[in-house]
Amino acid sequence: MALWDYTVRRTIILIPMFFLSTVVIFSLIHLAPGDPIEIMFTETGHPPPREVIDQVRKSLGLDRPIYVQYLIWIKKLLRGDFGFSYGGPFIGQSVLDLIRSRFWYTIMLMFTAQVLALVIAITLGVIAAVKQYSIFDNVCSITALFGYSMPNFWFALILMLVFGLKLGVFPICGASTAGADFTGFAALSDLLRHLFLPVLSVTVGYTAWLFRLVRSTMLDVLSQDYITTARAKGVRERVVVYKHALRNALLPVVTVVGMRLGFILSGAVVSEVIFAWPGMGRLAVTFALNRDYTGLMGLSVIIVLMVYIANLVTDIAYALIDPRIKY
Amino acid sequence: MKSRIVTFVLLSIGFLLIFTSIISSIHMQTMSQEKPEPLFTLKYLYNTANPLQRDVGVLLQEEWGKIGVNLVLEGYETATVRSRIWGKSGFPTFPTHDEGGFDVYLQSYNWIPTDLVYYLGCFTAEGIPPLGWNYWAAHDSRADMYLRKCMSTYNMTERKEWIYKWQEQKQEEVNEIVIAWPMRAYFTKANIKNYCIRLNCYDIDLWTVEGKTEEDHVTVRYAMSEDPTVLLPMFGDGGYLSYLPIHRCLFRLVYDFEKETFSLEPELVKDYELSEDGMSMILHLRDDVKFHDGVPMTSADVKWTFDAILDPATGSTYYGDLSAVIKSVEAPDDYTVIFHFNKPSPEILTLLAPPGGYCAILPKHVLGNIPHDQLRTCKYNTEEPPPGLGPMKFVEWKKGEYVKFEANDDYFKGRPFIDEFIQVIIPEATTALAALEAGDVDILHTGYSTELAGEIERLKKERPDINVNLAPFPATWFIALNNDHPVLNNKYVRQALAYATPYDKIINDLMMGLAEHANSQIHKSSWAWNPNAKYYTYDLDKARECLRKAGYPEWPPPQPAETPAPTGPSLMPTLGGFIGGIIIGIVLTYVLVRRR
Amino acid sequence: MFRSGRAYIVWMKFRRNRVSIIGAFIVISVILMALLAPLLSPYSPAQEGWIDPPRKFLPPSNKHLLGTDHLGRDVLSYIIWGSRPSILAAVGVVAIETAIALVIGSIAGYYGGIIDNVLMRFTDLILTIPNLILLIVAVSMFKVRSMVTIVIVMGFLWWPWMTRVIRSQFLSLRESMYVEAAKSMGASDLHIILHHIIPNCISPIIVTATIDIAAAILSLTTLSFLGLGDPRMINWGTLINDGRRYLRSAWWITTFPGIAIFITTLGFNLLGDGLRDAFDIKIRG
Repeated sequence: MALWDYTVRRTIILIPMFFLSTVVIFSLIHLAPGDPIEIMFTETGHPPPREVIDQVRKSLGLDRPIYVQYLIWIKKLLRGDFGFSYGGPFIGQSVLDLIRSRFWYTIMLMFTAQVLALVIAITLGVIAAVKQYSIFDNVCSITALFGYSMPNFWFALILMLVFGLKLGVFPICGASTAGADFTGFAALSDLLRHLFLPVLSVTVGYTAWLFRLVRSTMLDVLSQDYITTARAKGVRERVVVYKHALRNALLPVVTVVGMRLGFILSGAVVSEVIFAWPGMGRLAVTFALNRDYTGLMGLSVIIVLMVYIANLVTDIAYALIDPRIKY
Repeated sequence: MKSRIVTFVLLSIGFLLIFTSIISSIHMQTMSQEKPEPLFTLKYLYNTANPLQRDVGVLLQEEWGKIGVNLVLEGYETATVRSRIWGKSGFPTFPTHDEGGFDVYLQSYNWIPTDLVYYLGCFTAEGIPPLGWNYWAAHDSRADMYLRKCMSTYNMTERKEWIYKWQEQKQEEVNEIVIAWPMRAYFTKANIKNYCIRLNCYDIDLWTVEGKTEEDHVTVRYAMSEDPTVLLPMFGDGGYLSYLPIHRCLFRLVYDFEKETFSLEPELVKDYELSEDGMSMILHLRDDVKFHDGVPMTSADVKWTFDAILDPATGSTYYGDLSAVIKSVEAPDDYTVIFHFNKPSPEILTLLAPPGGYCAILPKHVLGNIPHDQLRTCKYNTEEPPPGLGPMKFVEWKKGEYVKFEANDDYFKGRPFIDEFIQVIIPEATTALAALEAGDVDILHTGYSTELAGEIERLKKERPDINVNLAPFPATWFIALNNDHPVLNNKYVRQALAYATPYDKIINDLMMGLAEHANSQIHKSSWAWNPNAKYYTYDLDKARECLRKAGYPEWPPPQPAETPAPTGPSLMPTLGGFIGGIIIGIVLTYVLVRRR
Repeated sequence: MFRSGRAYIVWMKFRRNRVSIIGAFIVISVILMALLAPLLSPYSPAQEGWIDPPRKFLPPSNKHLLGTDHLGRDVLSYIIWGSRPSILAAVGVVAIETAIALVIGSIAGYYGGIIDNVLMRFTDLILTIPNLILLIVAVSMFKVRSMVTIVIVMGFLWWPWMTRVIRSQFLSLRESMYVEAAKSMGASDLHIILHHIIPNCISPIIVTATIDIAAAILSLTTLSFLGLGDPRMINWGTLINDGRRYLRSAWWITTFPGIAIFITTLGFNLLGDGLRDAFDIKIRG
């Protein structure tokens, strides 16, 4: 039951972390100049008289000191009340509903990209590390460096131009062929076809980054004493690499991957905007361009929560893989 | 020893380069300081989400700079821009940019070409509360008088006379610099017939698709940039146009425009009568109109709709316009409605047919129980539209993805040809065009038109299956000037700016030729357009003369000594710099690599 | 004078690595390009003729080596002048980040214990919140998005990674002999940090900073691309954002600034890699 205890302990630690991050987000938004109420009203073009504005500000509790406002906000948040959008195209709509309708699309995009990137990067990274300075290693390393340095929005535009327009093999917008009533397998294949380009544009930069990480940790591990010992004892090379080295190299990779989930998310924002993928990243940009203050706060809380849960899962997975970890 | 020399040489090259660059940048600065002091400074407000606004600003900065105006560009997001333009009407004089208002702003309005209700609202202080929308432009009492006279008589000849005078007066005073009437490009599949770009899907029952018959299941896909903002038409806001296609295929107005001539045609009514004194109007409703849920439309629905809009608690967008004219609504029997006016209202029919569709008739049996002040937040405004009267029925709205409609079999003007209509949400104009080219959508919303203007030539050449014909769009682009600004309150300064504006460049190059040089706020397709109002053209000499009339000294000030003629840009510095850079690079790498 | 000492060893190692020489070459060229913009570029924003709409959308030719954009600006000149704010902004971000990281990292690393724990938990916290989302939130809340605000905001959001690097250096250095010696001689904490420890963790800072400059250039252009940058600045991201609308008919407006960004970040990444190998330190990622 040690693992169970460990999980519970990790979860309990997450709670103060979560509250602290809500403080960070809240103060980030509130310390910046600009009055949400002013934004809310001027959005309509017909601002009501001063008294009405003051009335609304009072009724929303925005005339109170900032820590009281925070407490009110967090109280509402815990009851699942994310408020309604203050401005822009979603004015008046429930923030939670907006997020709910986009949530799974982003998860889908990120999950696929993550799995793909892990598989490709680990395979190539291990081979490149084992055959250090070979042609394969050089080609992979240089490609990875290129992929890592390339602006991903630019790459996405080029993907769109080539695959969507010149070759016409993949649809370039949305998550499904609008209005087509596919069921079962047809719906799935439709979804996958739409998923292809966004995933590809997210994956490339991320894979390049991950490849470099895998390669360098693998090289690190391969130069360790115990590997030399194993080789000296006459263990077969394949066993050395895949049993001894890979397992040890994967551990730091897993930690860093869990920690830098934001990397893949920022890629997702760009490709969601370009490929009109109905995910949370696009929502965030819309909120931001309209300075929609409730929307941004709600969205960032959800994203932070998502990242923390992913971290928790990573931690537990780590504990499972690594026997050395103390529960 | 050797490495020391190499290091020394490398270091000295580096220092030399840095030194020359500092010298040259100082030189650049002194060059720019040689420009004489500008006569005055104005701030140009623009929306950072609108590249055309910014580009026009960049161009004006250059051109107005030639007559001594220092134009500073200030970009803000939509909310701030709107609060600076619309939110300041309570002030005795309109605040300048530094006081929280604006000085100069590029604006576009969509006009109703047949009548003038909006002009009253926008250009006089008594239009829309509290003090009129474009309060900054409302300081010319003579123009105000002309417009007011025009708006208070039913006699067409008189109206025309007054509105002609109004336009001449406006052009003389240059309350704002009128630039152009825009055109819009279609961006549809060539097989879509009868689609009218100006109507935003209002005429969807007339569309046909070539190569399909009545028996086929016809699906048409329409690309829009955003989700609908509001579902009830009375809350529609002119700034966000994406709700319009939805309102327009679901709901119907009492009156609306005919497609080709843009004359007003009865929609839900058989006929109307004006009273003798011009203070009330009787509408006779059609008796064969049914809501999508099968309930027939009666006068109660019409009365409920107008009462809701006229109640300030509702907060309808149309409250200001409507309450200025309509005092009350009466429904004596099921198919008769009487409007009582505050004043004689020649524009009443236009008022009942706003292009924003604000007063579309809504079902009382669905919405009647909701208090007026909760209409904005009720689910019929945010989740699922109430049953309407239009040719299309609502099926599904997947937020961020699409809105789906199906044909209304009971539509009172006959079942539409199209069976299924899907509005796909594509935020990026480029993506939308790509989707059109790939066949994923059939029609692009007009909102993308300006952004895609650069692609029209290519599409014409390469894609016969895509229709990119141009159509005039009832709107006007103009540069709004804050007439209360201490510099701009001088008529001659405004005239000078009008002469210094490069109309041809803005129209042909920035708007890609998708516009026509204008001489009036009123679109030339309107009966009210005055062809004799003054056209301003780009003429720097006249502009300088106007500035002198306004009391400013000559600019640029006459130079006592000879000034060096500005050397035109040549290729030499680039090539020289490039070759130099390459040589330095080669030398550096050679030195570095050789010593391996 | 260079024959002995650590700097010389590093230099030898660095020079032996062809890839890092290429990186250094790219970085030096880009910086020179920024410095010498007035000499290199055929047009200048300060002169008349920078904007000339009738000249719009000219494809690459002798007269305009990389074509012209939608306002008739010469794309080559735009790229040359645009390198100034792009690089300056990225350097600014890294400078702010380094300053914050130095303070927090050295306090955490030097004193350890509870202070270290609290500061590091906070660092992890910022690190886990997705960077771009945090940036979008922070940047969008400002009424005027000038380059200066964006740089400051970015600097204040980027310090955690650098802080971790500095802290780990401090952890290992504070146990070293010369620090012990200084302590026993009664030197103050500030003196030890400034004179004994910081000089010894310069190399990881340089490496991280170099790689971060590349990342900052990418982030800044991404912000511009999403419409959240400073639209008044002449910079590469803005040009791509503008040119995106004409992607199919005037590919050069988007392509060339994209390549400029790509080459610049590549240069900084290569240089960072080379320096890391030369300094022989391990930094993840």
